[in-house]
Amino acid sequence: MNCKNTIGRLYDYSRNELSGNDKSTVENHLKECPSCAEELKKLALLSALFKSGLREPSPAVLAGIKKRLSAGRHPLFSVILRPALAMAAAVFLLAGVFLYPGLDRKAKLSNTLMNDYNITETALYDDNAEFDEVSYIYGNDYDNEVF
Amino acid sequence: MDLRFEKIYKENSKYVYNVALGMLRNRDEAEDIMQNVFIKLFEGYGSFRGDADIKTYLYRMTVNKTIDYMRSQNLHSNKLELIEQPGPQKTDSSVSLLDALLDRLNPELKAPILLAEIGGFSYKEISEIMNINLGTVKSRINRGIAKLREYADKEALL
Repeated sequence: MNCKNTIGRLYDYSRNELSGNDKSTVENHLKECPSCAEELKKLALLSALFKSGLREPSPAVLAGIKKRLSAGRHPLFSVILRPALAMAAAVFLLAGVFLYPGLDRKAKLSNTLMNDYNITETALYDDNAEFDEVSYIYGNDYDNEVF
Repeated sequence: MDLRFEKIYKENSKYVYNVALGMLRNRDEAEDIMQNVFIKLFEGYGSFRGDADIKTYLYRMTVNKTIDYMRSQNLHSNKLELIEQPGPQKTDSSVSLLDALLDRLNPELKAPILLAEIGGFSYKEISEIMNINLGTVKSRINRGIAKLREYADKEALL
């Protein structure tokens, strides 16, 4: 390998980016060529410049990131509004359970009618049914169907 | 802030910042871009598969945003302005020399060199970050380094 080819590969060599064969070829040339060996040293100085020139970002950058990330969880919401909303939802749910009449409506109607007419069970005889056929009817329109 | 985020920031911020700074040569703009990149990362943290994925994202976004910014500002890489250092921070000679050298490169040549030298990435990793093939990475890096060496020799800087 001549100097021109070697110089073109020195940076790759310095970064360990050369494959086994190419790497050996460059290494062998460097052993015999002080000029290319000197060039490798200058590339090392260049790399050192990059490392030594690193600067720190200002603390304000991190502060800005924290501020932005916490903006989605407003303290007013998490401390006051969220618990208030949860409590309101619970109250609404409980109110619905106790106030909604439909759940035990059938039982109430049945109990009311049974008490009023002193009957132990309700039954409606269908005129078109067989003599011993009994239809038991319960429902929202029970009042209209029993007579 | 989540402790995981603090750790990611602590491990990566200096290098991400210096890649942005190397590209833009302006502290305020570099910090702005860096801040936005980290915010986007943390807001979408759940979608990343691991540390390598996070690093690739950080540097890809940084390089892309800096190049976009430079295009929008129509900045030219041949300007010989040094980075302004407001406040008490000193500008030592090695930093000025690096700035002068980097100013010689256009963004396409500068980016892979910064990723290699500051980010410590391999050529393969750089090709993934920049979404260019490996041969292009090698070509750009070697062209960029040749330019830097040529300028350094001409000015007897190294």
